[in-house]
Amino acid sequence: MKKIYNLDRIFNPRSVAVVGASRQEGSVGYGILKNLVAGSTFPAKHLTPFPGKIYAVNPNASEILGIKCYPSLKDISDKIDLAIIAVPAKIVPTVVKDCVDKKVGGLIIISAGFAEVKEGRALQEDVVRILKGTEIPMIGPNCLGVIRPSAKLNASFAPSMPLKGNVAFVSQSGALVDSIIDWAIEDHYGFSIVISYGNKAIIDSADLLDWLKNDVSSKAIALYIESISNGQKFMKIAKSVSKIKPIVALKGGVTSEGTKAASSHTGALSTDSRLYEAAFKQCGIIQTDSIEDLLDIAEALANQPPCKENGIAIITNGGGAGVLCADKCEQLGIKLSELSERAIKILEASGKMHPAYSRRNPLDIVGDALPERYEIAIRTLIQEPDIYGIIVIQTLQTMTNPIEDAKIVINIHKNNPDKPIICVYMGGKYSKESRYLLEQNGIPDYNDLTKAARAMHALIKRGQLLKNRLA
Amino acid sequence: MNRYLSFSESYALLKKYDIPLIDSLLVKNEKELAKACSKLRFPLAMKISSPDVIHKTDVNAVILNINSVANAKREYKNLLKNINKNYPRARIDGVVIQKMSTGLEIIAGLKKDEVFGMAIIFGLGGIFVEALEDVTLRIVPITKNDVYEMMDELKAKKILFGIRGKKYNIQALVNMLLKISKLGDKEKNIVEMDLNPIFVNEKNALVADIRILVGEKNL
Repeated sequence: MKKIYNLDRIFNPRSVAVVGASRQEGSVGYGILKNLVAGSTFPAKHLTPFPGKIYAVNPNASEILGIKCYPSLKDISDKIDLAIIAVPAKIVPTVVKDCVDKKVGGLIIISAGFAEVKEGRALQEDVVRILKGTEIPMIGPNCLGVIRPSAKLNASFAPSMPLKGNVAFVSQSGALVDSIIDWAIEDHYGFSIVISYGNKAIIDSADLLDWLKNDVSSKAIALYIESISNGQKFMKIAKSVSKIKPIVALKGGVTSEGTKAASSHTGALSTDSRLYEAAFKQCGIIQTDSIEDLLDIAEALANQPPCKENGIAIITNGGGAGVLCADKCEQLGIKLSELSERAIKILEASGKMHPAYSRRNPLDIVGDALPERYEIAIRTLIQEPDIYGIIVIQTLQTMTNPIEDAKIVINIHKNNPDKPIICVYMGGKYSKESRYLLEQNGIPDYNDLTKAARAMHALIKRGQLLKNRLA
Repeated sequence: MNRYLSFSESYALLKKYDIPLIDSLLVKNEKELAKACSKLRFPLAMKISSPDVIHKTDVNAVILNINSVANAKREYKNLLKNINKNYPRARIDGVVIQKMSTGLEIIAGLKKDEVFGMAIIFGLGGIFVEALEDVTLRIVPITKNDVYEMMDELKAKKILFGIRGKKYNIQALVNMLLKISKLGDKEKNIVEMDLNPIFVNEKNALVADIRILVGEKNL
């Protein structure tokens, strides 16, 4: 097994140097420096500069974006934790040599033109050879970089920096990350860290998982993977990580290459996608099949406790929404627990229920439900021993009070942190604020019944994994 | 160069891991054939054993339901004639005589993958694997829980667990899969291995046919 590198100086740097910083707006070398200096290339008022030291290396400029330029890394007298390299591919080996001489803490090679194209393979081998025998970790080449909102570090050429959150996103693709960041900012979705690792010439997904294992700000890991180089290493590390925090993965690029030539049934049936699916399962990784699912499920796993048993309740103020959600649960194998006599008695005795309320699971508390009715329903059901998680649905009626309904869920969750709650405050303009409020307080809200059921399904799966495979 | 193990080598390998095979004998002439018939009892199956004839059923190199010595001798001659005609240069180890077995057809196998190592595959045989690719896979070694999880993943799991009063010895199948996993974990030069079919019935689970492709190094 390959050695594991120490990535602390890449992810928590005190000094960063951009080699290949450029004066030219629109270039990668300019974008990276701008992201360090301002947190974002696109206008973003919520962002501030990287608080550590920023150095720029460009032999042909004296100053870019207010940062003094040095002719080479060696001319910087200060210690450099992280070197970000954005020079043309053919110069990269020379710069990497400088990094070794300078004893930088780690490097990110943004530049493309390596093993992803045939002509670049030898160049990538050169870089690996130079770094071989050193302790210096390298992310890339051909990657977008690293973004760590909590450290105000945007060491990438992504358009901007997302909000601080608790999902770590590790992606083999860089361009995917760009769009996700834009979407995440609009949707108030937060990340603890975003890492694009490109060609994985030295640091691969397993090394990154190993570092994330002990990163307290990351509560769940979302992984976008196209290929793994060392399957045994990946499985060993991923299993040890998923014992501690959940990993969700999306596998891109399903090829049947290599199986066509097989002469046996077994050979022909051992497709790439079956192998990855099996490996993920065996190390307790929850697999999804779309980017949207990946992030939705990661959010639920990062913010809510696992569902200890397969038995949940649905509480809704709309009959149809409750039925549709129950259908989805049924399809996914989620069991709806029966309401106990005790629970019905409490609900009846409260005097707050509508005469036509359902008295069964899904618990339809009827369209005119005011916050107090939601409160008694959620509070009663969360204390039921056979109910291990709750999906709360709110449809917007004239008397509905979304903000108060959100506060109730937040409050009840605080007092019952061991049972997961997922919300579906369906709607748009008038329920938006309540959704943000829920999410800011760690209650995932999906505005979609299917997504909510899938999120709950993942929480149940996580509960089962912890009891069985990962125990 | 990769090569296929002969019948005797395959048989020995399964034996090493205590993977039960249907009673079989390799015969090289009619005298041995007659002896094998009386030893194994009818009905019997007969198939060619040759590293050069891999897809045996495709070339009628498997004959089933042999019920007498005369019948056996006739089929033996036909089989060799057929092989000589279709594969004039085939190296022939002999002919395998095997007790007929009944039960649910299962397929299992191993496949070396350069990323993950050895994978074990398992599913219902016949049409389920041919048309529906109803198989499940894991990286070896696997545990008993993995096997049950694998069985639960099959679309045809209801058939395996027994419908219409049919019962299969699942425990025997579980044990066999664990042994195959162990074999795959230890025998590093296996490239591909098919155990197809395996018959599982009320009493036991037995391998009926094996095909093992190994890499350069000898076992």
